[in-house]
Amino acid sequence: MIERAFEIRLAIPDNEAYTALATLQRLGVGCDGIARADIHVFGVEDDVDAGELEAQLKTIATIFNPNKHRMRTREEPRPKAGEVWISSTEVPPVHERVTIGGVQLRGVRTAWRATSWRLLDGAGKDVAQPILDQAVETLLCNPAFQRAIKA
Amino acid sequence: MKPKIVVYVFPGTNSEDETKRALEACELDVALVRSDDKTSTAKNADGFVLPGGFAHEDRVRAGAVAAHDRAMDVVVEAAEKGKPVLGICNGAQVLLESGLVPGTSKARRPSAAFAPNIPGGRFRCVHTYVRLMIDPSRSPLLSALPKAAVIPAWVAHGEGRLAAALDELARIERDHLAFAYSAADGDVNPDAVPNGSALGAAGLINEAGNVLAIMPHPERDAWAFMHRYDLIAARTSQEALRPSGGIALFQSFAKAFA
Repeated sequence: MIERAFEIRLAIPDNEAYTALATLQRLGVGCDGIARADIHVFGVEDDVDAGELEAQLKTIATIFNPNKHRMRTREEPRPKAGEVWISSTEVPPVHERVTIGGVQLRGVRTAWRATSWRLLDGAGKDVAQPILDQAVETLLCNPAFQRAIKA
Repeated sequence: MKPKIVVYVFPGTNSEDETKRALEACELDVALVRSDDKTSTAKNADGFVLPGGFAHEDRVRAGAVAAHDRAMDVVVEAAEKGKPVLGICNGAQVLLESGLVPGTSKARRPSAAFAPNIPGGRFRCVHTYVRLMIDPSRSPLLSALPKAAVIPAWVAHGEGRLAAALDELARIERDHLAFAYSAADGDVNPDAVPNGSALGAAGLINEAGNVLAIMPHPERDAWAFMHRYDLIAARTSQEALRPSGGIALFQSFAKAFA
């Protein structure tokens, strides 16, 4: 079994990201912008093609609306430098089959979700890691039931 | 003079009116105050209630943004001075995210959470009962309740499962578990828990006993017409409008100011 990750980003203004930015700035976290995306990670059988799975995901109305979302397959099922994924601490169970929004995903055995956060400076570049860590600690992650996955 | 209670209204709060009505029925002077209010109403309040809803649309995480709202600066300061604070449902989530309950961590650093329900984070809307798990004398907010009091309420949440590290759960069980889900006769058992909550927890209290966070809504079972059996039994409108079991929690809250 291998893991494949997909990123779903809003193509319209992201109110949740804006609220998080305003809150972080109030808390004194040094950032000028924020980028957020939903991450879906699937444990799939070896013969499942990423393109085929992406096409299936694009049919699930509960997670993807082509009028307001953009989806892409991530190269790796883990965050890049400057990015943090916030996810549940629970270990995703292995299923005979995984169904999301009424759509059964072929060859998928596990599924878990995360929220990807990137904090940006005035030039639109990723902030330094200590600033991202401060954001995780103050707002983005509640360690009682969430984990922060870093690059 | 009646004690002044502020019921905070965040963007997305939706239970402020029924909460106000229940508090007013207990002879409290209640003001609905928007979280961006610039007047001194909140600073002069004798106590606070954070009602249910979806403060700040549950953005980032239920209660997380509201916990850092300027309005909560006033609530945190009041709680530290010993003023009574009650959070219901989303208000309870805000209190946990703000660290006021269970209160074992630094302010604004949560040590526990009302996390997505099990299974699947599904929204549950069911009638329930909660049983008082601590001695009433432990808290001025609960001191007017009898020992092991059973209070009816309505569960209406997608994130009400108590979650914390094992050592924190042990602390909560020992010192902070105010209410657990139960059957109507007060029997605390796993079947009564609607959301997979650790310890069957429905409500937590801080060390000083002046801050209570409760997930199900007692204000939605404050009158007979809101109670699933009493409405059927009521034969007149007067019977339907008599107080129901949920009002007991607000009556006890009011006694904290006596």
